[in-house]
Amino acid sequence: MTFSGNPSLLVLVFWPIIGAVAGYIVGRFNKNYRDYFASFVAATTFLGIAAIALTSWPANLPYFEWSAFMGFRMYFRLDGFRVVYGVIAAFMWMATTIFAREYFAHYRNRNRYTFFSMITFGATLGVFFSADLLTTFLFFEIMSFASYVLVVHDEKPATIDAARTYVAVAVIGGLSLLFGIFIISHTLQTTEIAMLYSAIQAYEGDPGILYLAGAFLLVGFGGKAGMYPLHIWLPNAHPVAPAPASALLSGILTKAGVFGIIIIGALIFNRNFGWGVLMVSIGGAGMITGAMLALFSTDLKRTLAYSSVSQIGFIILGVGMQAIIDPYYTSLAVHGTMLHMVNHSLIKLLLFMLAGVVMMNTHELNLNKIRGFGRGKPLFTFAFLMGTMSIIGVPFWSGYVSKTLLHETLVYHVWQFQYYSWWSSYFTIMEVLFTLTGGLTTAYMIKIFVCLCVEKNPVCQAKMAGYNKRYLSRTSSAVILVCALLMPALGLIPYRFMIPIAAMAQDFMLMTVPAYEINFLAWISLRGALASIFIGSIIYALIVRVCLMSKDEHGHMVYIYAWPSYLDIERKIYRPLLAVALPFAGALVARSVGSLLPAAAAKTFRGFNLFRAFWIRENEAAQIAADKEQAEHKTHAELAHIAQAAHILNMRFSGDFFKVVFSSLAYSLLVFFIGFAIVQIVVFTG
Amino acid sequence: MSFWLLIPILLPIAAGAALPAVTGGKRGRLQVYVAAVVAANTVIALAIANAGYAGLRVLEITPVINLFLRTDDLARFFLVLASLLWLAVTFYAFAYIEREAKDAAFFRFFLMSYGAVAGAAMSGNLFTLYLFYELITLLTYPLVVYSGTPAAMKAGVKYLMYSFFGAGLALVAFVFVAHFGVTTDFTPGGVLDRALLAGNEGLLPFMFLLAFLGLGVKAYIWPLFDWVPASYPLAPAPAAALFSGVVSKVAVLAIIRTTFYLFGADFIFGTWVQTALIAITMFTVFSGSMLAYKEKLFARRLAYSSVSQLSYVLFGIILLNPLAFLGALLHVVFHGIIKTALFLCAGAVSRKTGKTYVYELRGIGKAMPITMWCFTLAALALVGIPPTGGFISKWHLAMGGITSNHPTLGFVGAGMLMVSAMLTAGYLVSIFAAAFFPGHNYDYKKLVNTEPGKLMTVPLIILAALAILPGMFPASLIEYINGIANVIIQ
Repeated sequence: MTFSGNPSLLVLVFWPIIGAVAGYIVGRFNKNYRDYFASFVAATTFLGIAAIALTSWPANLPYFEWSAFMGFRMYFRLDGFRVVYGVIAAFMWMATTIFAREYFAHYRNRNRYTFFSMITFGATLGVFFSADLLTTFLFFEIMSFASYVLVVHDEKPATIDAARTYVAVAVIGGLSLLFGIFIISHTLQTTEIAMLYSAIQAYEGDPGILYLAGAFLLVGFGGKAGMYPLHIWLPNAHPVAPAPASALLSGILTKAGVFGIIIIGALIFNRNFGWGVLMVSIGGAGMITGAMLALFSTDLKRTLAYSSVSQIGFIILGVGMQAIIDPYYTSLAVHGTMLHMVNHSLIKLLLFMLAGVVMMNTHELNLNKIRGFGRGKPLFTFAFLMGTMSIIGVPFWSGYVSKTLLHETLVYHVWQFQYYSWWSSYFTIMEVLFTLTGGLTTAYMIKIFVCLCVEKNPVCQAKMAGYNKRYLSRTSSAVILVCALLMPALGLIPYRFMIPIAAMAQDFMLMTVPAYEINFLAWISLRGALASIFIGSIIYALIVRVCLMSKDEHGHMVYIYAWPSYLDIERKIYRPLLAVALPFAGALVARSVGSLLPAAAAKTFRGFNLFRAFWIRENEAAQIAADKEQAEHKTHAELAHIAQAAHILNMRFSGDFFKVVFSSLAYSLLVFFIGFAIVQIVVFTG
Repeated sequence: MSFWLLIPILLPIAAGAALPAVTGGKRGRLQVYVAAVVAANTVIALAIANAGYAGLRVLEITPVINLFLRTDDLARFFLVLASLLWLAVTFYAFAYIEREAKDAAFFRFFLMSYGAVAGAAMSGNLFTLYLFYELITLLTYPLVVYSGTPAAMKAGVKYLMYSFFGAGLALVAFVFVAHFGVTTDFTPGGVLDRALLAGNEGLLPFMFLLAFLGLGVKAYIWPLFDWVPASYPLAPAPAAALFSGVVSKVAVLAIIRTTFYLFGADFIFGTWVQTALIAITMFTVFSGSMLAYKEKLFARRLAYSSVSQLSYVLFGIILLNPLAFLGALLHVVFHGIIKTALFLCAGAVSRKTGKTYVYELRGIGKAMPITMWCFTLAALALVGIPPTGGFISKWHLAMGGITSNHPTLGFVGAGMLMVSAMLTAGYLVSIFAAAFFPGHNYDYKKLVNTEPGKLMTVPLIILAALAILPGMFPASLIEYINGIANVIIQ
């Protein structure tokens, strides 16, 4: 067991885990101190990462290696990408732990929540700092299982059901990931992330096996990332999880999955056109499907969850474009991917905390019940508006920068491939989808913004107004305000704040050429955003107001859930297949083949009661009844005779004991002699 | 002559035989007596393991029929594992058997089985191994039928029948080895003589199949595992734990001895029997997990789980490469620890609450937090979540499969391990999830703490810690096993 490198990385990862244990003990005595302590741990981690990054940037970023850990090693490394994500993770935990104090005021099991939240924090940092796929996997699994506790927290039936989906995706994804790592480790002889690229260059074997490995890794990381079509846990888990947990799940845990998808895309399949097209297609399908479902949803957090699916589709599209795009423009894809990740983390942190504000006051998430909540609450309305502007991608808000960069990658492709008609039309379709998704994003965000902050609640607006001025504590207000102000602050001058953040990540994604600068205020850039907003407004006016609302029995216009249930891939495909069909088929095979020998024995030795033992199967009910009666089993005379050996338990070597011994030995010898005879015959005659 | 090698065998057997006379039916005295004997024996076993190689040959009737004990690396490995697990289970058993009237009977055979297991671990030739192997069957039989119910009686008979049938199959192969081998002492690389064997090469794979399946009965190989689900749920928990944790590992030891020290890997490598056995073990891995997933009786679910997990080990052995062998022996250690812990947890639950079905366990984690925490950690280790021990062994087994001489079959095998791990998660996670998350309408006011006493919880905590910590720091264990593998696999 030897350490090398800078142990402060190890300390940073384990500090929240130690903090979890310490906080749990503190929490047994004083709940307030426990909450302060959790925030303190998050804040110190934040400062720690920032301090290490600032002192070592850029030349001597630290690494840490604990060799022989688990028989392999624990290997961390800091680079620009990891610094950014470490800082964001710590910031998110800081914000949510402060907010959780108010949110959880009336919950049970808060000690448990804080404990596992901190474990998840440490594990998430471990994933982002990991420089070896095995270390990634180690923390990835810890993160999955610890966050399960966060999802299941309120233990309602729907929650437990959603948590089951969550853990199923986590387990299946985790094992798929592990299998991918097996293949990578076997074919490339390395699992060190930074070495993957050079190992691939030197690899001369069958590329098919690498695609297989990539597919397994993609399922593993994609499941966590919420990648379509493995996104099924998001819309289930988010509405039922506590809001601080939803913010973390959507904002940062999915990014741990995206981190892996970037590893596959940028390091294993660097500039692999086929892989790029696959990613672009998956991303495209995800972004449009997620946005459609978000538009139809009538549950605030479910809308946000589908929105995450959609936004992660954008990110994955960006990862795909990194492989496809002309090297000269690589920076568009790399910077777009990174910035969209950062934006999505921060936006979802804000929006889910706001959903939490609604939830902790009204205990409802259904749009019809929470309508008008934001009226007369300027802070809430302002914060929600900031999140909305940013996610829509209105110019001067942060979302605009990343969306524009991603959009440009597609635009350049339509142009670049103009002589190859097939690919040109592919990218044209993608570009249209992109703009359309932008429109849908606008529409669903307007839908929930209007619902919350503009419309009056036709039933109980007085109740909603009753929350005014006392709906949020001062500390939480401050946290939400800071998060809200980040949106315009980052987006206002892209080249001052956002592009430098993106530039920090470019080494990780193997970008070698100088950045291609675009003018965010040029018409060509603005055009895409404005088109999306325009389309979105039309969709909102024509579809949401007309098709997705109708009059209820009291004559009020209400939001209706119009998504056809047969399009639910979880209930219609995954669950029937994985929970019913496959286990049934598997058990059928296992049982029928497994009972071959007993069945054959039963056929062959029918009538030989002594051999009955081979195929006896107890009927459960009969067995319990028999146990109760303690009755002698008359039907199997021989067996009952041996059964008398029960008396040996009363500890005298009675005659029956010797009967058992002798009959057993005689039986053994019988088998032996039959076998012996066969051997002798074969050997000496053959 | 190292006569002290006989001590760990004879001490528990003699002490067990003398148990009623010494303790006179007084429970306090019995517990002190049993604890003293087991502790002393464990210390002696560890001392023997620490002393390095020693050999002892007594009762030399013929070159084949003689009692030969020796402590090579492999023997010491199993001796240490068995004695540590036995020690942990002993203290638990005091608490578990407490309410029963027949505790003297239980502990008598409990002690005697310990001696037989120690003998099997140290056996240096075929006859000795076979002798102790049969002795284990006989001495553990009373532990199976301990409850004395008709169902237990029948399960006991089933156990005897399958064991003797298996031993009979193995014996046929052993005669073959004795006939064509230059010796029957375990020799790395095998004892078969190519000159003697000339003309009968076709018989060899068939004989190996008999030996593997025959000895595999106690390691739950398909198609001979039918006795496992019948007998384990009816045996007392400490006995079931030892069956799964230790006795099955003696079968693994016997198979390793047969494969690498009698037949020799060279003779098996690449033959049809290797292919067939890879397929059989793979199927058993799947089958056990699948049946466990469908099973509702807690202890039987764990029994099926053992069926699956033991075939991980057999899969690793029959691949005949060092990486897989490393995985197999690591899995022997970790599965021994983990499954012992799981059976003890299941036993603690049924003993304290009377609940034996998995759907009755809702909220049990609130009533027995320490027990269920240990269960959870051990269960995660069994699924193979890093950094637990189960992950390390699974990694090496799967890598051994992928790099084996049967790339396709090994690849499928590695995939099968993943499928099995998925099912393992399916049947274990659901238990502790329901135990700790009973639902929002769970009535906390009715909660009664049924946590067992320290005699039960301390062994559980130690076992749970052992399921995880060696997984984080396995370097010396890996080095030791590689030492064995380098000698027997070229």
